[in-house]
Parts: sequence; C-alpha cells; structure tokens
Amino acid sequence: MEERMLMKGNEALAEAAIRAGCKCYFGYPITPQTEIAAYMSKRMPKVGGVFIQAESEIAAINMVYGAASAGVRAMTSSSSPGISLKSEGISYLAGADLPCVIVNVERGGPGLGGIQPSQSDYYLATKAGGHGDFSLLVFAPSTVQEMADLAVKAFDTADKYRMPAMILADGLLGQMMEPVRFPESYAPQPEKPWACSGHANKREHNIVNSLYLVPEELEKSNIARFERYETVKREEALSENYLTDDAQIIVTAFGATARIVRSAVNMARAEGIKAGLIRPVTLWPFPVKAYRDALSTAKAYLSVEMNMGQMVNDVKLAIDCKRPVHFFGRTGGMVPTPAEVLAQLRAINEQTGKD
Amino acid sequence: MITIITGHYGSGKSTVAANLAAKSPGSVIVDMDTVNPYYRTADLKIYLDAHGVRLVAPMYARTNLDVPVLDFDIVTICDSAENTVIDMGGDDAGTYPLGKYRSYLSARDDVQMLYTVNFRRMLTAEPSQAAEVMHEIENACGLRITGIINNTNLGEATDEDIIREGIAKAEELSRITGAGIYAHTSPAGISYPDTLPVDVIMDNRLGG
Repeated sequence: MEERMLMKGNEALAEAAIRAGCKCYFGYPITPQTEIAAYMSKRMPKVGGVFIQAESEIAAINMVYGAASAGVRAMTSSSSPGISLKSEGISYLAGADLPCVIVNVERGGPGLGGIQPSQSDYYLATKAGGHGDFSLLVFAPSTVQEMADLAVKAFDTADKYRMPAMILADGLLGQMMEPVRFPESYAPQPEKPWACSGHANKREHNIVNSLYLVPEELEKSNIARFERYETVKREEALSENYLTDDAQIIVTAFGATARIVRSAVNMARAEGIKAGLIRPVTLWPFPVKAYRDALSTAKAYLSVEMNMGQMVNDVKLAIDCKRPVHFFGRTGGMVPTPAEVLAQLRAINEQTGKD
Repeated sequence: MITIITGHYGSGKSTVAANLAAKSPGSVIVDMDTVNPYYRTADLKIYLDAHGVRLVAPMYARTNLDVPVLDFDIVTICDSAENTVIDMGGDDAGTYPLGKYRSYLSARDDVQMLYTVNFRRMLTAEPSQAAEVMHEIENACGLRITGIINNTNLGEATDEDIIREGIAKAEELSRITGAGIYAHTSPAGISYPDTLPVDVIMDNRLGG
C-alpha cells in the first residue's frame, strides 16, 4: 500500500487528477487555488501531460473545451471571480456535452471580495454556471483526502454522463494540510466514440458543437440532456449522515463547514440535545432522499453555510417545507465556530421543546 | 545572529521559525512570505507575543489585499536586533526577495541559512528530490544552505516510525548535498531522543 503523504487540499486534488488520467491542465493564478497550477506546472511535464498558464481564465476554459473535444481528460481551476469569467465557456461545454473537471476553491465575494474562504458560489455552481438550460455535476469535498477522492470521481462521473463536473471547495480545504493516501488502481477510462480524435478515413467525422441551425434540433438536444439528468439524479446523489437516527434537529452543511458542524453536534449531544448532521457530498444532484428520510424524527432543520443562506431553499424543497428550516452563516471570509453553531442549536432546541 | 528559514511549500517553515525564535526571547521574527497569503508567520502572533518575540510582517499580511509587498528593511531590522529569524516563502519563488540582501548577508559572519524539509511531502519525498528543491532555492537567492532542519511529519498522524524514517532520509540528503543537519524535529506529544520539539501548529479553524 502507498504511504500517506502530508498534502494541501490543492495539491492532493492536483495529484489525484493526474493519477485519474488528466492529461491537460489549463489555469491562471488566483488565491487561494494557486497551488493547483503550481503543482501541475511541476508534475505535468514529468508525466507526459500538458500544463499551460493561459492568458486569462476565459482562455483556460476554452482550452479545456478543445482538449475535452478530443476525448482527453482535461481540467481547469480557479477561485470565485475566475469562475465567473469561465461561465460562458462552462455553458458551451455543457451545450456540447463535454466531460471535464472545473475546480472552484471559493473565496469571499461578491466582486473582488477577499482571499479568505467562502461558500458563496453555491448558486453559481448548482443553479447558474452559465447561460442556458443545463446543470453541472457538483462535488463538495470536506477533507483533504476527499479533495483527492472526489477529483477522481468527478472525472469518472463526467465521462459516464458526458457532463462537465465541478469540485466546489473553499480556501480552507485548498490550503489546509492533512495526510492523504492515493489508491493503487483506477477504473479504466471509458471509450469516447464521439470524440474528435481523428477519423483516419475509417469512420464518419465527429462533430462537437453547441450551435444548432434549426430550433427543433436544439429543443430535442435540450430534452435529451434533461432526460439524462433524471438518471443522474436517481443514480449519483451522495450524502453522509452523522447521528441522524434519532435526531430532532437536523443540521446540514457541506464542505469544510460540515466539520465545524460535526464538532457542534458532538457538543450538543453532550448537553442532551438530539442533533444530527446531513452532509451533502453532491450538491447537484442534491441528495433529497437523505433530508426526506430524516423527517421521521426531525422537528427542525438548520443549514450552516459560509454564505447568506444559498442552500436553504434546496433543503426546503427536499422536505416540501414540512418543517422549519433555520439558517446560520458567516460571510466575507469569516468562518463559523462550533460554539456559534451550538448556540443556534440551543435556541432551536428550546423552541422545538415548546412546540 | 541571523537565521534564515527556507524550504518547500508546506514543509513547516513558519512553525519551525516561530519555534526557533521563541527559544531566544527578545528576538525578532520577520515574515518574508511574498508567495502565499494563507498560513503565514503572522498567523502565529499570539504564540509569538506569549514568547516575547517581536513580529515584523508586511502591512497587508492577514488582510484581503494579496500583493507581494515588503514595507520594511531587513538591514535595519537585523542591525538593531541581537537575534533575527527570517521566515521566507516556499520554494525558489519564495526565496527570490532574499537576493536583494545577498551582499549584506554575505558580509556578515553570523548568518545561518537553513533548509526545512518534510519527507512526507509529495515533491520532496526522496532525498534526491529534496536536494533538487534545495539547489533551486540556493540559485534563487545566491546564498548557500548551511544546515538542514528535518521536519518530517504527517500532521496529527505522526508517529515514531515516521520520525525515524525522516532522520534516515535527512542524513542521506546531508550526504549528497554536503549541508549539515541543524536539527531533527518532533511534534508536541511525541518525545523522540535528540530532536527539537515543535510545540506550535497552524490552526485550521475547524474546531478539532
């Protein structure tokens, strides 16, 4: 078995992508994700891959479009403002049904915002990664090990459904160091008979495109894509439950925040408050069933996020608004503390006790 | 005495630098990281204050302004302090700013330039790789590494086997580069003979 190494989240993600067969990385520096580009610049030339520091984020995402069209596993990464810039290209990738991985190590916004960790691109990732009718696969790692593991899963799932996948991390996960172990073997990459990889006069030439000359064809492609999304929703939703079996208060959080909440749940349990944690691992598809199943014991839900409450509506929809969904968040690079979350749990516990 | 701490990204430069400075109360520690605004010397201010170490950091450290500005003069600081620890940024990229002071530092006879290495880091896992990074750092500033600080660890998962393995690799690094071993470290909670205990860690803000 391979030895564990001490890695930053950004480095672990980059190394995992290489091991998953990523051959092309195109990026542009921005804090707090710059280590991904720095790591790729050192490693890619040694493994027969390509590293290009593009002239802009927009150029980088369009390079991903080109490489993915040829059937190559390709990746780009940035942080919040840079992902806004990539949005047009992401829409084109989705419209052309191209698998790829886009990494967002979020920082505070809106605008230039700040360099400290944030989760305020939840909407951007799950609802509006660009114009048009489409969705991205969105994975939310919570540990440095998961930065590695979900990078591999993102490539595999993207190829399986011919969809762009996004890793939605934050500055904490990108920068913090934890032990990581890489698997010894990886699933073989699927054939890509649709790729523009050279027909050698042996087959019809392939076309990768998002332009449709007649509206009937465009509508047909949109409907077919959304039928595929239904399969993804059924098959690919992932979540982790912690102490939810008897939980009267379900706290939910994704990414690094879930670890803070886990500490708060432990503190609450020590006081006799029956709290439990649901951590969505995929943000799209949203793990609706986990929230619905918890209705049997839950009297209230609490969403804790490093934003102004962007996940709250998804929780409300998951449970058809059958319970109150409270919210606690910090923004602008501020990180919630376990004590702050515990205070929220105490207040909700008091309230539900009266009901 | 001037002690310059260099090394690969994430090798533990800031924690080692803070630890060394804390062993000489009244010393000055200089945060010279112009590469990465996260997890820097300035984040250890509470620890440094508690140990009587004066922190000199760029005015924009710990703010949202991510610019490589050093608004202080190393010569003035070093001339006025008995003991100065200078904590550089990672790799060759983080060492370039030192080049400006090469002639000043070369003229003094009380400068030690140390290279921090963790053999549980992916790009310095083997002595040959660590030697490569070390030479890149020397070339970036035009100064020679005078000693190796072996800071091999796996965070909270560090055990005696990992420390032992690090010591063997550090000795190999010393052999192939000619730089002597300044110290082997051990994290708080593990007492390993003849090591420098490092009792400060960067807080990941996740509350355990």
